[in-house]
Amino acid sequence: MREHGEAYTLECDLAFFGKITASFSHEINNIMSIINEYNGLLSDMVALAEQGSELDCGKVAHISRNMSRQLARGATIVKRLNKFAHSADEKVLSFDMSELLRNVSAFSQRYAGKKNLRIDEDIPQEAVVIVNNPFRTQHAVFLAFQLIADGAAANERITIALRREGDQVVVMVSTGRFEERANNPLRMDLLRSLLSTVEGQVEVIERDGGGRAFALRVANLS
Amino acid sequence: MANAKVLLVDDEVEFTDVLAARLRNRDLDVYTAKDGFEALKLAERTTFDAVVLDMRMPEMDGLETLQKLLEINADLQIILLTGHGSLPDGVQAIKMGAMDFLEKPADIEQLMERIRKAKETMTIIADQKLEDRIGDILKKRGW
Repeated sequence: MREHGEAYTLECDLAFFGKITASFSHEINNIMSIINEYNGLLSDMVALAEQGSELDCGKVAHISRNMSRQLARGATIVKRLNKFAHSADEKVLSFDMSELLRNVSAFSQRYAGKKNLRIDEDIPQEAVVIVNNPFRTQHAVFLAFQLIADGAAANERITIALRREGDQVVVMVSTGRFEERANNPLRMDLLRSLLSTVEGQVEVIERDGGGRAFALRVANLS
Repeated sequence: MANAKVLLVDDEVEFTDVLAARLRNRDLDVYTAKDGFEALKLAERTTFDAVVLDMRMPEMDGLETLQKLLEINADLQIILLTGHGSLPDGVQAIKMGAMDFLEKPADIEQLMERIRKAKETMTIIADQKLEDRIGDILKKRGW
């Protein structure tokens, strides 16, 4: 394994931060575009009403409901973006691993969509609070997700699971069919480097039928 | 510009649905596709005056869809919708043969202007092709 220095890991952290915030901004822009079109449709209806057509109140109410739904969708994304941005505030924080994984799952959707992969979550509903570096943990989980997604057969499912194991938490990222040629030793080394900074480690598990799982162990430093 | 035939391609179905309604209010004949694959199928059996294509789509992105649409019909007038600050993507699209690009959310009048221009270009191309065909026939008959 090649040991990555802190400078390289920080550079990768920054690239990860940029990639994820760009992805969030794209989602927000999509929502703004939809609201923009609904607003335009309302303007069209008002213009027609001013020319003597009857204003369809049912349609106006329907558009208003849809705009509210899109605003709620936007608020959820902004909340996630805010959580993600603040995860880099401190090197060691107390955080909810369940919530963090749901966030990673959400911002991994677009990456998964490139190969029409589906993400399944096996994450406890209750909070699993640990003390560690949330930003590095997210980075490691997302990198593991990318490694699995790159090797997964098209239309496969990827599962992100979480369980407690003594003082540690174990995040399992797995798929049922993995193509061997997708192995990426450099990224694997980066994953190990990231995990070493959170006193964690990765185990690669080969499964019957060509499946693969990454078990990421992350320490609870409390 | 009555009955200009337009194809809208975006994975945000709600976006294409509402934009389609607005363009239909302006007398356009609008088709929608939720991804590049659907767009290619539609382009194989219909000639559109303009295609409005989102840059960022899962599986087959805007640039790949653009390339494949132009393989089906090199005359197609394709307008890319890009995100904020995606000037390099827009320039790349133009280099690949797109007619133009607009930032999302796009202003409807700006989009209508591009569609009008696309329709005019397609009409000129169709007229030119007809003239060429007539010229060929006349040539063959020695006129």
